[in-house]
Amino acid sequence: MIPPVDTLNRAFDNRVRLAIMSILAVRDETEFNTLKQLLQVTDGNLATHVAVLERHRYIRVRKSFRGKKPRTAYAVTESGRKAFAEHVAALERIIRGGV
Amino acid sequence: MEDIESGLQDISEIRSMMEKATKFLSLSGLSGVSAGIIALAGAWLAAGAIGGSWGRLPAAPPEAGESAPVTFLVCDALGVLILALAATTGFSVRMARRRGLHLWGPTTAYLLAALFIPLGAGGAFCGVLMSGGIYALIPSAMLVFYGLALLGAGNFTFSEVRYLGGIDVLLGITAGFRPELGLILWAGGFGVLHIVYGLLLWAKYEQ
Repeated sequence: MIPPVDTLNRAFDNRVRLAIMSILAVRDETEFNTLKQLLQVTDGNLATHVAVLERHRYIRVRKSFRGKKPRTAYAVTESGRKAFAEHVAALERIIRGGV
Repeated sequence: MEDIESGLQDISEIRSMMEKATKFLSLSGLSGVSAGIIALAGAWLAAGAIGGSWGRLPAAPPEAGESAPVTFLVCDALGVLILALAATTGFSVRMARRRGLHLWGPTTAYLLAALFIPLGAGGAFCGVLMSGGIYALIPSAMLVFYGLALLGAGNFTFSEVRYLGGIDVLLGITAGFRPELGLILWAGGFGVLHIVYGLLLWAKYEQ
């Protein structure tokens, strides 16, 4: 039996958002510029996708200053970690179910 | 079928992102090979300086007139370190460019800290041994501290580096029990092992 696809989380159906969650799942607080470097996307593109994840409360943002330079860093929340784990489990089910 | 395809793609994207976010992937096996060759040359020079025989270092503090080989050995060791670091940096720059990665990425600082904090402590400890005139244990200390540094650094780059570190620690302990084999074990750990491991890494990831 193939499980319904809608167990997959819609918030993660985008490659950039999936990649952001993957990075934050294995790192502590990660700066905007570090994410940009790892993902090789534009500022605007990255900002759009972190905003979506933030709205779902899957990641939290912390703005601070290092000297005079503003610093924006992101970290995964508890519910984000849980949602991401469930999404990966759903992906696994689909792959297994389809064999 | 399409779901399975895209599911597999997603999983591999997740894996690769997690790896990129935590590991320094610009290390080239050729760094290991060149560091090994440099170390062997350094060990050969050292053997010549202490009387032409591999594996014999003075066990007693040198007399006033004997201080020349110590100065030479210190310069030799520092020369090996500097040349090996230069070669490693050079090959890493090349590798980063080839793989389209940034040399100074989010993991570089982690790797350098994991590597150089134990190495710095090891260098200072070798200074302690020297000030006490315990030259015979210096190869042992170098191997043990370098091995521990690699065991830590393996968390932030290719995990194979940890095997090299573990073997170096064992060689260092052996060299501590058998100081007369110090130089030959040093040449094995820093020279031969680096070359073997560099070739393995090169064959696995750069072919």
